[in-house]
Amino acid sequence: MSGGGILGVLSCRAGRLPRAALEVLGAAQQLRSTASSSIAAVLVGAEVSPVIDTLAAHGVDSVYLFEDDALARCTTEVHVRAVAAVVAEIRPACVLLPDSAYGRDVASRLSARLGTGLATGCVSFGATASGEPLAERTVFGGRFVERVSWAGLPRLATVKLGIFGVPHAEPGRRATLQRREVARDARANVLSVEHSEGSGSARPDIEEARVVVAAGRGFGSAEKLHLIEELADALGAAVGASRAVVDLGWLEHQHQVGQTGRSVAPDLYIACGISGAIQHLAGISSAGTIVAINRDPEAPIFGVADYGIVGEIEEILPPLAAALRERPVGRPEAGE
Amino acid sequence: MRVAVCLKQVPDDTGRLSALDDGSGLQGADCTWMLSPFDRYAVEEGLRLRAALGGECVAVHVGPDHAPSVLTEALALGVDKAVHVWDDAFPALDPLATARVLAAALRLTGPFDMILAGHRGVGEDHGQMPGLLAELLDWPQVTLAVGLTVEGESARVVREVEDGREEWRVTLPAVISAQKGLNEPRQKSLKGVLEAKRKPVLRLALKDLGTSLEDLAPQLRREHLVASPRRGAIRRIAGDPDAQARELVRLLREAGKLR
Repeated sequence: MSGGGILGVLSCRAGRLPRAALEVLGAAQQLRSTASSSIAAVLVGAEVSPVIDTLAAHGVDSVYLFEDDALARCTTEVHVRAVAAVVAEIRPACVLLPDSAYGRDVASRLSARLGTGLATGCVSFGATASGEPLAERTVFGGRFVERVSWAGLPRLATVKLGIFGVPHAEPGRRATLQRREVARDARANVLSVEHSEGSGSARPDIEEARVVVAAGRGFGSAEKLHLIEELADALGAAVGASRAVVDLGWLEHQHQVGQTGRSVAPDLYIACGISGAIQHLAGISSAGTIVAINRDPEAPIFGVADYGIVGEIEEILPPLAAALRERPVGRPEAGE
Repeated sequence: MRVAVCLKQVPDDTGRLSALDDGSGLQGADCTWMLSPFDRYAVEEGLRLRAALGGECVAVHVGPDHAPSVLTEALALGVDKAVHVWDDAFPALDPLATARVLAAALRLTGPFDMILAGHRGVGEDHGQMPGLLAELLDWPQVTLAVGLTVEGESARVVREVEDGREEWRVTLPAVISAQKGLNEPRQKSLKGVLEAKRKPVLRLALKDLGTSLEDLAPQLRREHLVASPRRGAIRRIAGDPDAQARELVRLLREAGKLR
């Protein structure tokens, strides 16, 4: 590659690409100004080669692999060194990463290493009148949108999850493969990893889910949380929570949506028993459709919702889950 | 053990902020400021490390004077001294420039065994400072810490990632960023507030840092800032619970929101 393209820094685990990685490729499609700019991807870790065909099908032209079982224990510094080597080799105009723990870690160190600017949590890419690339990001709890530009190359950006979608796959498309090696750094090591998948929860993560249903203080007690879980399972949704629910110990912090929790961008967000404090709204400013279910007709959540139901959680949620499980009229049983 | 805690000042009530008409930035004259919520976990952890291992806990802040100062707050919570870095000659500092200022101040006031910071602020929400600082200092980093144990020359850190937890070992010195859950931050006491007034505050300006204005030229520029578009009007659904539930499902299906 002769420079000027887009480099995606992707992560993968046990030979599988997370949705976040494919969304980075979706963002790359939006960012590239001309159809001729190429898309490269770099992956660092153990068991990364099984995903090459998936990357090629989703628009990647060249793949740079740093694959070694020992890399599974290596941390950010080694990944940054590997990515910086690819940047020096192919001189991309833009480097895109997922706005995840991994992506922010690598991107921020890369910014200091290369001395170029990093825009985190981007929700859109565009260009100025003179054709200079721009990124849009939300700031101050989602109350404002800022457009930023970069002074130098490569432009670094992390891509907010749930915004860009996964590019259309073209099976059989090919990518060139380059294998590379990277020196280790023994100063930080991964000792153990405990992922919640497979530990009983079949529900998606709140940042990856297309639908999030969230519980607030309106549930009154942890014993009633089965209502939100049943609603989640009727929708294939992730379970979110307000800060109160986490501080009361009803759900783990990973579920918390809002200023001191996580910011989510699902297509559909159903807030149940959540009053809608400004700190909570900060976490859903990029959500698509918002449904609010609350007993208090004056609750601020109704100020941002698209659909509102005033009522008691325990009276609304069971018939709602039941209605969702019913097949829509006129829709055939098979082929859904 | 010498620990530095990096602090950020954020708006206490974003409802009081408004965008300037020309889109160049924010008008925040009515705004009150506070210590960024995640930084409270960093301060608490610094104080706990000092209590357990001895040494010193220093709070560092880059930013113009706002009252109440985050440094006064940290001193009242119990940190030993404060370093306030500001110069009116600074250009608008982007994250990389802020990190360069911070790194220079930390080198000047170090050596430190650990640098703690909130994993992100809640204002401009760049979330870059821990990684930027670690790279500029050439230290290892562990972000999103929810558990921290110092064992001699290294630390074991439990971190919260999207779908679970990881445990890392890192040699010191290192940059550690705090996630909610790392500890239960204390409240300041009256005694702490009174003692804070007698604690030293070191002020550093551009000439002290050995950093040139060229190094601080922004790499990321804000071109435009506007209020987020208002959402459309709400559609309220009336009826008994069963009818409300059915009508909501019908509307969501119609809008293509259900698969």
